[in-house]
Amino acid sequence: MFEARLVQGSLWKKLLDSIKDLLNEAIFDCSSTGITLQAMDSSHVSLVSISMNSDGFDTYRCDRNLSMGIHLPSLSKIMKCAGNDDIITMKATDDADTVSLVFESPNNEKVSDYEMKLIDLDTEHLGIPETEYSCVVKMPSAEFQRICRDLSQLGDSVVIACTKEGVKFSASGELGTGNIKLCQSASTDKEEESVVVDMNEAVCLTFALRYLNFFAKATPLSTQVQLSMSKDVPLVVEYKISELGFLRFYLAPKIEDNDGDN
Amino acid sequence: MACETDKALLQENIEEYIKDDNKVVTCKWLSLMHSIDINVAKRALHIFVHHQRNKGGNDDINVTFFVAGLGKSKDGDLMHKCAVVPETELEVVKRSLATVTSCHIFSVQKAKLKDYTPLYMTDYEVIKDNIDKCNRFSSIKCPWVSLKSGLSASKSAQQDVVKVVLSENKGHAFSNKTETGNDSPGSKTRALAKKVEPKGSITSMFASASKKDGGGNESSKPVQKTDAASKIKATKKKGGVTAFFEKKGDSPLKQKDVLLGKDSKKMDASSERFESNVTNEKKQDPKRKKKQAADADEEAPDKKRRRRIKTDLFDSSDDEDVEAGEPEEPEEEIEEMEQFEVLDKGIEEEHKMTEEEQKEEVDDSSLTKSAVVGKKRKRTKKVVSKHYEDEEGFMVTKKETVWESETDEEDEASVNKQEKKSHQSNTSEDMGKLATKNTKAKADPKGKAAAKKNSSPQKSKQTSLMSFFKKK
Repeated sequence: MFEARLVQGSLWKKLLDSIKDLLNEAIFDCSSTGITLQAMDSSHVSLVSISMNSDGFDTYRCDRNLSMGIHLPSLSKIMKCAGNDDIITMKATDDADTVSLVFESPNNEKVSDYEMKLIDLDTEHLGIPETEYSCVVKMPSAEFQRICRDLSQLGDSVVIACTKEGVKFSASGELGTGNIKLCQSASTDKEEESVVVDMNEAVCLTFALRYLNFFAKATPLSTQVQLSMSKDVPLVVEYKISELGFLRFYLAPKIEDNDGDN
Repeated sequence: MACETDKALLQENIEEYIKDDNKVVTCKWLSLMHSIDINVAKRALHIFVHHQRNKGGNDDINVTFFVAGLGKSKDGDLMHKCAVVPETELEVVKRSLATVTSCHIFSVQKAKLKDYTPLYMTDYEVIKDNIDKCNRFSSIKCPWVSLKSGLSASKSAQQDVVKVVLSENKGHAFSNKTETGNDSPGSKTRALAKKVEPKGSITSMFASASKKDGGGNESSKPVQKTDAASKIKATKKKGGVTAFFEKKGDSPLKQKDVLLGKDSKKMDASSERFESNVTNEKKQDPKRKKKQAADADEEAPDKKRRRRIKTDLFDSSDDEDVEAGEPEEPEEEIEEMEQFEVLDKGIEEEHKMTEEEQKEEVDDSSLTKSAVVGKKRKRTKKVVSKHYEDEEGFMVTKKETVWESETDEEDEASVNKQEKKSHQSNTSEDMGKLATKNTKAKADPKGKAAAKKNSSPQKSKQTSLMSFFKKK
């Protein structure tokens, strides 16, 4: 028996909205410690990793480890039926082929019950090594979203250069070039508006803006986003999900073509 | 002795099929699977059932029988009846027949049949696998029937259509005459079936299977109502996908035929002529003839040209896609090309052309066709900025209004340049450059997306995450 009740049901909605464009289907692994998800997009360029601790839920029960293969657009559709203030409870029996979702309005006047079919998925998990990143940038998530959106007007890839002074996003294309520099602003009163660069070594990496724009859809989940970079390893874009856990996106860098002219 | 061991082996196999694999074993299936005569298969099944029944106890096999004989219709007319019946009803059916001409085991299976679909499916699959030789083990033989080669089949295809239609009409007339007063719809069809039956019931079944298969060689019967052209296509091509493409092409073709009326008839006629007499190739429209005369030195006979054209068509459509700035609807293009195909079929075996030549022809034909249809050729007016080098060696950027139409040749002839900025006198060299730049500009619109990517100064390659993370 699996049951997870989340008072802040809107988190589920936001979570699914942020991954449904990148992934079509994924396995939610439920264990006694919480719910995890790891899946790559169809082109194997990016990876989504979600971790939700059991402590973050209001009630959480998982008697046996359960892998729920879920068609994400369908789940997202069902989640759209929930109100923003609804309490969402996810239930499944140990050997069930469906998962049921119960939406309760805050004053308990309305209770909706949805059942969704699970799908059989056979995906392999990737081992993500613990990495000490050369640069970790914390910045407002809305700012990150804005930068990705703006730069995608110019080109299809962004160069993120991280130095002590701050972080620079550059893109160029037929239109011309664009650079956005963010300076460290640790002095700001509000933590969520600050830009913090934690750096051991300067890095300069190129990424596809298309994927960053997909990642930026998770902006509503958190006010801050954390970008972790090292030379020639995937970028990690992390959104914290309040006390619940995190949503991480991994994106493989674009590597300079050998026969390229720069 | 070998024969005996073979039989024993066969019995074992049957037992295995039925009891272990839980298969439906029909006599036809058995015959085709083991490449044995149909009668041997029937006998083997009979022996098998006999053995099983003699073992005593619950043999848990179900048997269906094929019974044929003279029976009476509802109206009391004598008729030949064939039926596949379960064992339980065998006696009842036998009794209902005045004379039983044939009775043998049709199938043996472990499961109790709710309906006869599994029997049909068993035969269907195996016939499909042996489509061109599925009646080689049949005891019903017709020495006059021989498998047609692809070419001869296509030759006579048209005649077959006519014949079948005629015979169908005759059949109707016949049944109307003989069965006046008591002609139920069933009896009519039966009369028809009898009419076709000389080839044997297996053949008729074979025909229906090949019809479903969509790619059989002997598809003369089932395609009565399709026109001759599509029929020939069907007989020539075997690949499922290509058949699909052709089907798709058929319908717009027909529409065009309606539009074109006379001309399309002409084309059909020319293709028919070609079918009936391969050597009679000289009757083509004069324009094409001219073209051929021009290209004659590079041409050689090629029988599979249709296939070549198909690929070329895609190529050429790609090329036209490159000129995506034009408002030409792709569907229309396709239609035009298909029209071209038909036109081309008339000279199918005559000429082989290089790809460029073919492309030119596509353009050509679409042009002539659009002229025939009376449609306005679509051209767009575009403002294009161009760079020139003037006499003093300075670069000058100008905005020009350019008319673009769908074909290259046409373009060069009809490009209408209205220069907005006054320009110093152009030397003939400059004119040459202009022409080349023109063509570049034409290719530009579609290539934009690609160009955008290429022009990005960061020449980089997207790597896969799999190169960083390993599977657990």
